[in-house]
Amino acid sequence: MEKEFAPWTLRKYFGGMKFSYRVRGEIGLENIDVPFKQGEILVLTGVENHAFSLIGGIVAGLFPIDDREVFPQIDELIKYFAGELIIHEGNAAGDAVYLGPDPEKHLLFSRVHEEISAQLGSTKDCEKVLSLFGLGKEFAKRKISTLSGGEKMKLALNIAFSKPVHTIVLHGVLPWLDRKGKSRLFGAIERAREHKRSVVLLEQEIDILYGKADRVLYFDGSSCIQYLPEKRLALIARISEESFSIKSALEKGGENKEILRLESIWFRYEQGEYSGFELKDVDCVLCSSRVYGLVGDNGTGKSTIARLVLRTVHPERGKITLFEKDLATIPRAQLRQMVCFVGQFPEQFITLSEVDQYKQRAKKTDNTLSSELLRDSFPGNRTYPVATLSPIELKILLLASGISARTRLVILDELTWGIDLEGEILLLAILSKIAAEIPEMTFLIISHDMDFIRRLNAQVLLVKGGKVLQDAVVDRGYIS
Amino acid sequence: MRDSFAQKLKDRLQGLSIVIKLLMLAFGAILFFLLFPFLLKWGGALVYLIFFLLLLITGTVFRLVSGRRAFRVTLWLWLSGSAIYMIIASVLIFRGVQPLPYIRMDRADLVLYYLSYPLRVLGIFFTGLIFSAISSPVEFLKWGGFGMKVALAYRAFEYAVNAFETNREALLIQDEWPDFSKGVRKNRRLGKVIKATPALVATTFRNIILWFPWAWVCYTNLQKEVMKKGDS
Repeated sequence: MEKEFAPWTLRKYFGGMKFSYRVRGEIGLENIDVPFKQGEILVLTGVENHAFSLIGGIVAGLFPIDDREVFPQIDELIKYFAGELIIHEGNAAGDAVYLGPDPEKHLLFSRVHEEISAQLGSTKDCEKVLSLFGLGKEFAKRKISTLSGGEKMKLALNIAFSKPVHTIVLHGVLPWLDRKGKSRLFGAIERAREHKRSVVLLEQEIDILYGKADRVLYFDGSSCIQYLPEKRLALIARISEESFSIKSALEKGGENKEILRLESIWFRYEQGEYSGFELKDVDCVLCSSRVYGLVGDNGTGKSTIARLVLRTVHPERGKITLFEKDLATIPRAQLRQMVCFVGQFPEQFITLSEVDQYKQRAKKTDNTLSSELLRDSFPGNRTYPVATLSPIELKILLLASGISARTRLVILDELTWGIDLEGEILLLAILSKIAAEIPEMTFLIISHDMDFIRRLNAQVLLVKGGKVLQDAVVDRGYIS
Repeated sequence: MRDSFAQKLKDRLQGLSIVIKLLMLAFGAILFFLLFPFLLKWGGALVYLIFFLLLLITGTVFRLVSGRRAFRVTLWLWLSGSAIYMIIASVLIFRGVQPLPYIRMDRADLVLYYLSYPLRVLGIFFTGLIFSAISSPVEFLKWGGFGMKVALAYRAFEYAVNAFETNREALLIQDEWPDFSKGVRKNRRLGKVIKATPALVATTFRNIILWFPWAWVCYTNLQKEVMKKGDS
C-alpha cells in the first residue's frame, strides 16, 4: 500500500525503503529499492546524475524538505529538494546523518573546534572526535577555509561518525581521501557495523568497497538493480582501451623533451593561512608525451604544486622552468596558452554563463581544437546554461574551452571526483582526441584515486614530506 | 615579529564578545558613512585630519588581521571601483549637483564630499572585513532561531569572500585578471581590474546561489537537531 510522505512518521521507523520521487516532471525516480538494514553496509554505485545525488538525501530523510515556504525566493533552486516522495515500502532512516560529495556544504562555521561544538554539542571532546581520522589537537584551532579539500572531508566524516544516529549515509567521500583516510574510514564503518548502525555508501570506487559491503546495488539512471561486476569490468576494459589510445597517440610525439622543471622549490603559505604546511626543496622534471599522476596524502601540497606552475602562488626559493624558460618571466597570456588547467571544482573556474559563449569565443579566436571539442561535447544550438550542467559536463567545458593548439601541459585536479565510469570514459576519450591532435602533450593528473592512476598507466609522482618522489610504483591502491 | 604581533592582535580581537564586535562594526559604519556629512557641517581641518587618521588605523588593523593578499586585493578592487566612480563624480561636480537633500553645500564642500566618498567606502570595507576576520558564525548561535539565520547569512558572506578569491585566481589563470608579479604596467593593471570586476562579481554571485540551497538545508537540519536535543 502506498503512503504519502509525512516527515513525522519517518522518526519512528528504522530500516530500508522503496520509494518514488518526482520533481516537477524533470526527475523521475521510480520504485527505487534501497534495502539498508541495522548493522549492514550497503553500497550503491552507478550513473552519477542529479537523481543519484538525491537518493542519499532521501534515504537519510533529508529530502523532501518540509519548510520550503521559508524561502520562496529560492523556490527554483530548491526544487530538487522539494519533490514529491511516495514511499511504497519501509521508510527513510529515523535518525540519520547525510554527508554529500562537497564537504564545504556541510561545514557551517569558521573554525574546526567551533564546527565540532556547534554540530555535536559542547559536551563532545573535540580531541576525541578528531582522533577518528587521525587529526591532531592543533587541527582544532585551524580555520576551515584554510583546510585542503581532503582535510575538510575528514573533518566532516569525524562529525558524521560522532553523531548519535542509527544510519550514516555517505555520498562521494572516497575520492577526497588519501590511503590513510580510506583505511580510517573503513575502520569507522566496521565499528559502526559492530554498534549495529547501518552505513549506506554511494560511491564509484567500487573495487575497494566490494568485499566490505553486505550488499552492492547499481543505479542505472532511474532505478536500482543488482550490481553485476561483469558490467563494471566491461567499462574498465573500455577505460583501458582509452588509456591505451592516449598512450599510442603520445608515442607519436617523438623524443621526450623536458617541459617542466621544478628546481629546489621551497614554499609555504603566509603565516596563519595554512599553518605547518610547506614544500621543502622540491625537485621534479616533467617530459613531453607522457601521462603523470601526482599522488599523495591530504594536505601534502599536490594542488599547491599545480598553483605554483599556474603562478597563482610563488616559491620562496628555487626556480621553475617551462620549456627551459624561467616561469616567472613568461607573459601570462603565453602561459595561459601553454598550460590548461581543469580544477576539482570547475564551476569556480567557469566565468561565462553559457557554453554558447565559450563556443563563440573559441570561434572568434580561431581556436579550432577548442571549437571542435565544444561542438562535439555540447552539440546542437542549445545555449547550455552553466548552472544546469552536471560535474562531468563542467569538467569537459573547462577542458575544451581551455585547450588550444599551443597547449603543451594539461593539469587535471581530481579528474574522477563526482563522475562515474561512463564519465571517466568520456573524459579519457577527449584526452585521447587531444593527444591525437598534439602528440607532444603532457598530462599531469592530480588524484587520490590510485585505481584510476593505475588504469591510466601513468608515471607516478608522489608528494611526501614536502618533497616530490619520481617514479613511485602504484600497486593495488598503495604506493611503494 | 610583525607576524607574531598581528597574530596576537587577531587573537585578542577574536576573544572579544560578539556584542563588542558588533558595536565596533556599527561604530565603523557610523564613523565612515553616516557621520561624514555632519563632520562636513561642523568640523574643521583638525576633525578631517582625525577622520583620515582613523581610516589609516583601521586600514592598518585590517592589514594585520587579514594578511597581505586580502589587503592587496581589497585595495585593487576599491581602486577599480573608485576609478569608475571618479568619472561619474567629475561630471556631478562640474554640474554642481547637490549630493544630499538635507545639507546645502558650497562648491568647496561639494568637491570635498564627492572626492572623499571612496575613502569612506574604503573605511566601510575595512571595518566589515575586520569584523569578518575576527568573528565566526558560531558566535550567533546563542541567539536561538534568529541567531541561526544570522549565522547562515554570515556563513554565506564568508563563503562569498572565499569564492571571490578562488574566482579571482581563475581569472588570473585565464589572463583576465592582472598578474601583479610581473610584466604588466600599472595603468594596464587597473584597466584589467576594471574590465574583469563585473565577471568576478557575477561568478562569485552565481556560485553563492549554487551553494546557498544546500547550506540552507544543512542549517535547517542542524536547527532541527538542536531543537530535538532541547526537547529531550
